[in-house]
Amino acid sequence: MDAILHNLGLGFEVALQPVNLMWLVIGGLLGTIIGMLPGLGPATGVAVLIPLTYGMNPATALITMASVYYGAMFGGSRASIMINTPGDASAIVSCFDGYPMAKQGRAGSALATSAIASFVGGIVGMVFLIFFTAPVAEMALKFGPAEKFSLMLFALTATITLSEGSVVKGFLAMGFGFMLATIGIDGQSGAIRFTMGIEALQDGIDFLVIMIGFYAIAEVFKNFSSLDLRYDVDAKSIGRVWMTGEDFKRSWKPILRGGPLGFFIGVLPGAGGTIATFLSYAIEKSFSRKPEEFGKGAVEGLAGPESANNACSCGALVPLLTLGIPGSGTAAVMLGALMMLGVRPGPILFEQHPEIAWGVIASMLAGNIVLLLINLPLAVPLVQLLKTPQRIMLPMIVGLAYMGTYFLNYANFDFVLVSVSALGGYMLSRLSIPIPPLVLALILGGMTEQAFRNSLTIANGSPMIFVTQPISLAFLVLAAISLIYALKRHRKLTQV
Amino acid sequence: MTKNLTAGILAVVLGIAYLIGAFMVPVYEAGDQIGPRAFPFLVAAIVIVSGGILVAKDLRAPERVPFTWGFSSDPVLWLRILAIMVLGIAYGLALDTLGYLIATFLFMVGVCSLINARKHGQNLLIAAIFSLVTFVVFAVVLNLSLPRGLLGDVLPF
Repeated sequence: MDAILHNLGLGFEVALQPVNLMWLVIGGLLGTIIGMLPGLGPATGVAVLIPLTYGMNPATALITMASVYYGAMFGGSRASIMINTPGDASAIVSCFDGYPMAKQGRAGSALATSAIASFVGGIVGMVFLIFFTAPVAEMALKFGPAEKFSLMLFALTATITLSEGSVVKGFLAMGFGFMLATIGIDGQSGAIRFTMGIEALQDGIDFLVIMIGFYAIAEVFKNFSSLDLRYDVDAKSIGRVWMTGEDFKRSWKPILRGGPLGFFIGVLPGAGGTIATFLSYAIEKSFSRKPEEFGKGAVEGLAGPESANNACSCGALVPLLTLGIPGSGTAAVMLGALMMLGVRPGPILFEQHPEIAWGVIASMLAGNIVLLLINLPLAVPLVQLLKTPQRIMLPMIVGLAYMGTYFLNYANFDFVLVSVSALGGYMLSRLSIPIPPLVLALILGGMTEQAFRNSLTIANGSPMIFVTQPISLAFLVLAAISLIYALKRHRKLTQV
Repeated sequence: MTKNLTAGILAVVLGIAYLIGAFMVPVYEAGDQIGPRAFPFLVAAIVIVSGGILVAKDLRAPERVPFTWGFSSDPVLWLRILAIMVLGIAYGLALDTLGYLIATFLFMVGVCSLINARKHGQNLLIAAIFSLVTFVVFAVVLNLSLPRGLLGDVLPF
């Protein structure tokens, strides 16, 4: 406990520095705006704002990116409530009851409920984060190559089985990610692999370039089919942005239930806000005495999932900070940006740079307060931004994405890579091939292969090493369980 | 063609190409005993097998929903995508010579005209504001190095 308080003290010292507070406010505000834009979610937000973090020290950079992340989570629900168009998949559930509330003239109450529930969820998530990260990081320090390989295999399998879509397509996406990861000079033997004679590929593919292509430009391509959609937002009908006594009485329990639920789902690799919000919605519906009101403006159906969603983004930071394994697409982008700045998240981060790890954790308290302050009084002017036509917003996202690509390595070839990956990302989404397993495999590919080869070398080529080490075996069993569960669920769905 | 069949065939083709590439990876005496080919072989197997399963499952499926990319039914969409890709690559090539401000302005005029056609005044304004604001934020406020190009001696900061 003493150690935690000491670390937290150090964290607050970092988080409360004026420059970090300033970036927290800027990041939160920009995140809210991008999260709010229809069709664009937190991963896009972090991807296009990466250039902002260059030149920052790593602690400030991580604090800024985290604030963009949960800012986008706050913002995502604004669009769901006002125009029934979720910013990303984790904001879908907020449409179910948030939009009916707005249509009944309770938009102000819905906006306030969503902001307050997100705030409480964020705080609950932060408290859990404080107590969870250190023990996990300590345990992870003891992992050898066999444990690391099995852990990554589990993370990948969980991402495949928990993300939407077919399991086979998930494996396919993982394979594509590994393919991209193996391009370039092999670190262990010096052999040049899969460069097709292109010199620029010898150093391997910078996965941030691919992610900007996937999460920023391909998202714009997807929106091309809805360029002329105009959203009407009647600011006068919003009313006072505050929760009524009745709303509060009905919401506090769902909010408190949503927090821990969201956090633990967020910790699982690949299980992002979508699962957390849908599960919270289902739970609140089953707890409710009036389940028939769900979908028609029940405030519980908005409050629980909003809290779960924000707590989930805290949970996703646990594997990112302690194991170096991103728990969501957004966390993956953050990992990439941190590696650019020379910081490798993982258990050693807590030993070597406690100020970064604890600084970002402490900043979440300040960040959530800032976001509550942004989202309650400024709710009405902010939602006016929803009126901005797609035809004006989308070119700017494209511009930011290409500009961000340039800042990564100042390399002309990256413009080719980002364009091709945007096309690739768009085509994959047309084929319903999930992106998260691909991105995770691309990021973890190098480490996975290294752990695989080191383990086999230690064991003189025998793959038995993965099952004779108890922790490694445990991860493999978990991977198998998640796979069996997914296949059973799939069979059930196809039978109905 | 259905979606799964398209995805499956694509995967098998890519997987085989990757496998051939893996056989061409040189193996040196030095380095670890497992070598640089083992992992790619495993990856190729995953992709080819997953693709094969998709194809096999699709051919046995009772209901098959046809899928098209829409190259002929929605050519504007694909032309727009292609044009943005080309503009992006050209932007990358022009940045160092023209400098950030000019290249970004031209790039944004192009992108805006593709997405927001026929509103020339609006597009010029967006492109000008975008390139100026980002230049000030990144080069002046955040102090990142940006190519000045043709305007090298003219810029006051």
